[in-house]
Amino acid sequence: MSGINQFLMQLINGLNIGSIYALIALGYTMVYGIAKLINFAHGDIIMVGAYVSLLCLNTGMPWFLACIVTIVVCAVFGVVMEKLAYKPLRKASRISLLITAIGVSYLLENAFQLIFSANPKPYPGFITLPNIKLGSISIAANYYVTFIVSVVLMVVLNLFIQKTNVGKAMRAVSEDEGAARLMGINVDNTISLTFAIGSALAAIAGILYSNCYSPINPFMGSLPGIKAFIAAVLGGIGSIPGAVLGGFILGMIETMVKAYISSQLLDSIVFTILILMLALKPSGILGKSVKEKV
Amino acid sequence: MKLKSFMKGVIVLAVVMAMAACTSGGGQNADPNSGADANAYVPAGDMTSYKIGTFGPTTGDYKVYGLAVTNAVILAVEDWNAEHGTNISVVVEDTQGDSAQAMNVFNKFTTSDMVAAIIGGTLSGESTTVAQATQDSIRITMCSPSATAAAFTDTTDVNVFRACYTDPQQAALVADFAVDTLGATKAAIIYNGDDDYSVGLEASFKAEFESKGGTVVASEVFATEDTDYTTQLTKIAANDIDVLFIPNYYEADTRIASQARQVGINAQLLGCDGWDGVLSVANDADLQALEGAIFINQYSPDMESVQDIMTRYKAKFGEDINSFGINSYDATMMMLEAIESAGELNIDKINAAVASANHSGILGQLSFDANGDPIKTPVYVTIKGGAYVSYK
Repeated sequence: MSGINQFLMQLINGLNIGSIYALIALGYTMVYGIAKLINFAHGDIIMVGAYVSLLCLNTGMPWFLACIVTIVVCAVFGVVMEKLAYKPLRKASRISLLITAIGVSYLLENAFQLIFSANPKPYPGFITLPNIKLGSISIAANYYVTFIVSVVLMVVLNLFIQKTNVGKAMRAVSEDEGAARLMGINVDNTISLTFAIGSALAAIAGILYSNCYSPINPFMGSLPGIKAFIAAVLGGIGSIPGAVLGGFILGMIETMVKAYISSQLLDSIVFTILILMLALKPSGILGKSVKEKV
Repeated sequence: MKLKSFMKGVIVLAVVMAMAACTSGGGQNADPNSGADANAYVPAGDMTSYKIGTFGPTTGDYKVYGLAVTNAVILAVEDWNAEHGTNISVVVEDTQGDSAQAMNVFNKFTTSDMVAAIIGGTLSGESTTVAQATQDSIRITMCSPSATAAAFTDTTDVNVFRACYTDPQQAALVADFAVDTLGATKAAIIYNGDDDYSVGLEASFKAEFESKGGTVVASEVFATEDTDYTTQLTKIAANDIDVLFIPNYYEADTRIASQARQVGINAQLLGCDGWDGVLSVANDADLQALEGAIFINQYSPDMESVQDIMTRYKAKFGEDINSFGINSYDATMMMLEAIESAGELNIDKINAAVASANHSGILGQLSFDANGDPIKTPVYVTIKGGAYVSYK
């Protein structure tokens, strides 16, 4: 295989991993953008989505129905999580919320371990479309479906937030919760909806992730969650196109580092990039820099 | 505001990670002066009612191994009690695979439970930590059914034994098999750089394969948390290879096998005993990728001699027994036999009895070399039609 061909294949590999990160980062950024909370439990909702869809598929449910059920269950789950864990702390400091989010993450991981055991479970992949052939390179269906879904969701979400009334309400809550309330916006409902959408996105990510990387286990969400967090920061946390861009960039960097530098240095390089980004341009590639009002 | 909350986020993350790092560090806390007490150690009970300690991760990521080892000890002791009319009991402790936790377990076994011998640990890391601790304090007999790292039996006193092959042993056997039986000349390896087990197997496979005249054309490394290996496999696919050696645990092995086929690697897949269980996590696509793969193991489920224990284990614990369990059963029976032949609950005598043991177990004869490593015959298992079959 020629060097160019090899490079192209690695490029595709990078896009594949990148689209997974992008999809997860979308949910992260959505919740951060509106509720101003870095929801560290986001990765674990991916895991919840994976298990719920697995249960549905195992009952013999057709895949599209399983997807819908999973999305609904995760959305409800996200709302409940917000009401129980985050809402009581809305007036508390950011750091308390952050720590609570980490707590929720551990709670979910261990609860699912209790229910389903730590043994990994095979996930019956249902994406059976043919591979796409580009010359000597073939792209598996799982990957291009993930790519398309993440781009489509990015566009839809962006339109939703920019154009609809609910989207406007979300942006208003994000900008100034107090003022939004005075303007007659139901802040509680808006934040609940944000969590519902964020968790629904996580459900979709969970389903696609499991299709690509069966088997699944209760800890499957934690590392992709952190990686997607980095992707969201790279792209500009709070920015929806930024999350997707950040995801692709991160996937590409990871693949190229693994392919041409060293697999062992991978995490050092990725986290160095995160630190540099936070130091040099904390608002990320596509993020707006907001002046701090004192 | 944004920046501020971010920095806080990063700080919290850093603190949490630092805390996690602390709990996994600082293993050895045995009192260096307690070596003098070694002879004073007297196990609780008498020849008909002593305690056997066993430990491993019975919860957490490696639970499937820890439960197999500890459950099989329970089963073996029950069988022994039923046959000999004794009242020997088992103390099971969970380590979650953590070496620091294993030290606590060891201290509990030797200061509060006063066990006569230890079957364990399950994973190499925790077992090695405890084996080292026995050198500094109480030289109690321990036999691990599954700690494969060479370092485990690397102790000055012979009180540490194992019933499974060492990592170098099994990787060299796989390399011999690849060259002698399969006629392979070019191999590639993909292994976990964070894991001693995987790293050890990679090194000895490579050494043995090359000493037999073969070439290892590519050796790629990944990290424990990785689930996507396509980048490394794409690099391997650029070479023309006869065999791909995948020395990892089964969850990674499934994904690697699938992704290897996906990037166009059609070479024979070879594995180690960490592959045992691979079918339990394989979906239909994975099964296709795994078809024909061969791995070295302690046993194959189609062996005549293991049928009885498989049925009884399943009936009692509701799970299928695996090689960790079967080895653990043999190791326990060997230990009980050795204690009986020692004639008294004296750890020096028990150590000597195990060192000279020649136990006829489910998997054949089990005896130990001067280092405490087992002398036994290897089994090759292949995957055919979604089942494990002895390779013929």
